[in-house]
This record gives sequence, C-alpha cells and structure tokens, in this order.
Amino acid sequence: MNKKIAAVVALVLAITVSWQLHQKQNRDAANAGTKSDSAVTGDINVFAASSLTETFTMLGKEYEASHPGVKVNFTFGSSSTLAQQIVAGAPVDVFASASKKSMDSAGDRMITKADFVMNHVVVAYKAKDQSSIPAGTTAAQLLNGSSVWIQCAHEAPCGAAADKAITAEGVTTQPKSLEPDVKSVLAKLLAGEVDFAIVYHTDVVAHSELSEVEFVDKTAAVTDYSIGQVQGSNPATSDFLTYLKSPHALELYSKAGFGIPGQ
Amino acid sequence: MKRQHVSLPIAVVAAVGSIFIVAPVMALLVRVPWGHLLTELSSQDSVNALRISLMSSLLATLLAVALGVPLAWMLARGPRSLTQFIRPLVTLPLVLPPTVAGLALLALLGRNGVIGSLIFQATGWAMPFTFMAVVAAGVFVGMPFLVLVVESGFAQLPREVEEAAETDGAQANQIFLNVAVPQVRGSIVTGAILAWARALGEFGAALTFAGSMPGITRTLPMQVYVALESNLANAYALSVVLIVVSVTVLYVMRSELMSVFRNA
Repeated sequence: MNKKIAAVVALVLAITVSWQLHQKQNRDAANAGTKSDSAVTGDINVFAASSLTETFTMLGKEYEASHPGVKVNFTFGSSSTLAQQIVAGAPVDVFASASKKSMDSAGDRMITKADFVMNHVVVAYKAKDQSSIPAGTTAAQLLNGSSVWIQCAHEAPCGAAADKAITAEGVTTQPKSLEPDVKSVLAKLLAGEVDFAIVYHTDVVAHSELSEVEFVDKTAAVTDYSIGQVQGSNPATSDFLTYLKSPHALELYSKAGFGIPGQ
Repeated sequence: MKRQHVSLPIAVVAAVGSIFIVAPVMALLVRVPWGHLLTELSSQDSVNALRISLMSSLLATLLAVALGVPLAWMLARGPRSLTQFIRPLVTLPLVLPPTVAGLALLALLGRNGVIGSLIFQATGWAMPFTFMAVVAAGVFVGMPFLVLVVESGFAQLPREVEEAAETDGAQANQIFLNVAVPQVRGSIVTGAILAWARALGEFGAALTFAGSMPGITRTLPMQVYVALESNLANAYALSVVLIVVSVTVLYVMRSELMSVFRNA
C-alpha cells in the first residue's frame, strides 16, 4: 500500500518537474530571442475564429519550418467565446476574430487591432442530397419551404451575419437550432441531419461535397475579420503578425474563399 | 471519546483537497448579481430554458425508471454469464464523454441514422432538434445511475421472501412487481433523483443530438453557455439555479448515497 502511494507521489513529482523544465526551456528560448533581437523564438499562442482553422494551421506550420525555435499554438473556436477567455486573462499573443464586435469585446487586453480578411455567409447544402435545385433559386426560396435548416447563435459572428442576411432576404421560417459555432453547424449539415445550413462561403470552398446559394444582398451577409496583438505578448508576435499579412498568406486566404479588403 | 487518527499533515492535505472543490463554486457565488437575480431569472430566455430543462429531465427520469427498474432486476437475478457482459455496456454512459453520447444517438436515431432513417422515410419525422431528442439524451446519460442503485437494492434482498412467494404459487411477474419492487422503493427514489440530476445538468449530448433552439431544445446549461458571450449576469444567475438544485439533492440524499457507494 505504502509502495503504491510512494509510486503515485513520485509520478506526480516527475510530471511537475518535467513540466517546469519544459516551461523554463521555453522561457530561456524566448529570452535568448529578445537579447539577440534578430532571432524570433518561443511559443506564440493564437486564438482564432474557427473559420480560419485550415489556413492558419497551414501558415503556422510553414512559419515554424522557416523559424526554428518558434512554436505556434492555435486555439480555434467561436470568436465571442475566445474574446471572453481573453478578457478572463487567457495567456494569448494573437487574436483573430470573425467580427469587429467580438474583437471589441476582448477589451483593453488588445494592444493592436487591425482589419483583416472578409467572409460572407451563404446557404449551403450537400450536393448529392439536393440535386434538383434549379439554377436561379434564391436563398429565401430554399429556406421558406418546409426544409430543415440551422444557423449559428446570434452571439457568434456567423450568427450575426446570418441574422442580417435572412432579414434582408425576407426569410420567414425559423431555424431548427442556433448552434454555438460554425463548425457545429457544419457538422450537422455534413451528417445529413439538416437540408440547409447558413455557413461561411469558405466552409463551402473547403468541402467539395457542399454547394451554395448566395444571398441576394451580399453586403448584409458579410462579416469583417479583425486581428490584433494581446497585452504582454511574446516579442516574436509582431513578426508572426507580419507573416499572417504577407502576400503569400493573402494568396492562401483568397484561395480559401476569403475576401481581401481593397482587392 | 474515540481517537481521531487525523495527523496535522493529513488535515492539511484534506483542507487543500476540499478547498479545491469548494472554492471555485464559492467564487462563482460572489459574482452572482444577487440584487437583480429575480429579474435575470424571469427573462424570456431564462424562463424558456428553465421550462425545457425541468420538463425534459422529469420526463427522462420517468422513462429511466420505467426501463431501468426491470433492467436492474435482470442484472440482479439474471444468469451471471449474461449479466457480466450487459452490466458494463449499459453503464457505459457514466464514463462516456457526453459529445460522444450525442454522436451515438445521432448515429442511431438521426435522420440518416440506423433506425432514424427508416422512421424518416416512413413518416417524414426525425428526432434531432425536437424536445424528445433532449429527453432521449437525458435518459441515455441518466438511466445508468438508476440501474446501478436499484440493482444494488435488489441484490441485498433476502431470497427467502421470493422463494416463499414462489412456493405459494406466485408467477415471476408477480414476484417482481409485488414482492421485489416494493422492497426497493428507497433505492428507486435515490436512483431516480440521481438520474434526474444528471439529466438536468446534461449539455454535450443534448447539444449534439438536439441542437439549441430557445423554447424548444435550449436547456439551462445551454442557456448558460450562450449567456457567457452576451450576458454574464444571466449566466451567473442561471448557474445559481443549477448549483442550488445540485446541493439540495446531495444534501437530502446524503445518507442514501453513502449506503449506495458502500454496497456498490
């Protein structure tokens, strides 16, 4: 019995010590970076809207490959949830939000804020389930029927954009669910549990099995992304932010279906 | 006076352990907007969520009792070669991540599910996004608690009573309904309350299987999650309801719970 307890205590100690060492290495690496000033090192923690998952993951890997010593950690989720976590003191360096409203709700901890890419919501459907949709059918015609459709919660940027778009379009039916974020909406559409879902245009580009119908009033369906640096962030952050706005990165966003301001 | 056998180091560790559990809940209570608690709880969204949560968890408890008591009897009195395989399977939801539970329900009862697709083709009705889907999620996560508690109750019954009833010509059904069940009323109540509390707090399984629509499928825990992003005071107020219910259940059931775990 005593041996078992001793083993558990030893294990806990071993985990604690190795974690502390790991943290120290990271700090040392980060400090080395500030001293030499040329090398960019340490951990960069990024909170980003879940619609940025594919592009940011790819850009993060590329950045790590060209900057040995840097580790980019991503947390993807609903921008409004992430903003609340930043307010509550989450250890983050970069926040990329799917709306300016969510960026503003991150509050004083943001030391920089800048316009980023644009996205717009569409009515998406699984091409093989709805093969009989004639060309020229509007979003209102699809949603006002007896179809089952869902969207994001009003609080999330994808939900706010959907609310504006369906009001402008004159949609009179109710969604079956207001999901917490766009990935959750997408999952139910891909599982075939709904006929239509209001998701981002970029989601449809990323999934070959999906097709879309655009809202007539496209400006109502648009959401403007915002990106910024969080207070107390790793000195390497601004270099990474520059990378996220490099021509190469812009090309990736564009390919993924995002709009680039000024283009 | 009995010696306590509690040394100072043990007391210190015990104090840290209990603070770790109690302090976060206390901290949450500090943030609750006590001054306008009733205003927060009487908003349309709160009332809807309270109603959905209460009705779905009570209905789930009734179904869990109706299905779970016979299952518990089967586990207590059925052939061991069978029960030893069934017991771990039917108690799986105790340890299954709720989101996985929701996915499993979709896989079976969703519009494209194994059984759900047949129902949908025949009737055009599908369970996801309905109130019944919230109830089903509650039964799925709550029933294992009832089954374990009631089985433990059945297992402690002296077999002599059943044998005497059998000698007097009672059928198996009569022995179950008139002899066994009345003797485990206490266990059924304990199990039902545990199942109800579990169903009331369910989030992941219900969200995955039933979605989140105010007035139809959005339960208290889902409303708390939504309110986190729009109205923190509302989230704290609704959390109080869930905490008060949980503490009351644990306090009222304290001696029953102790005996359940002692005999499990």
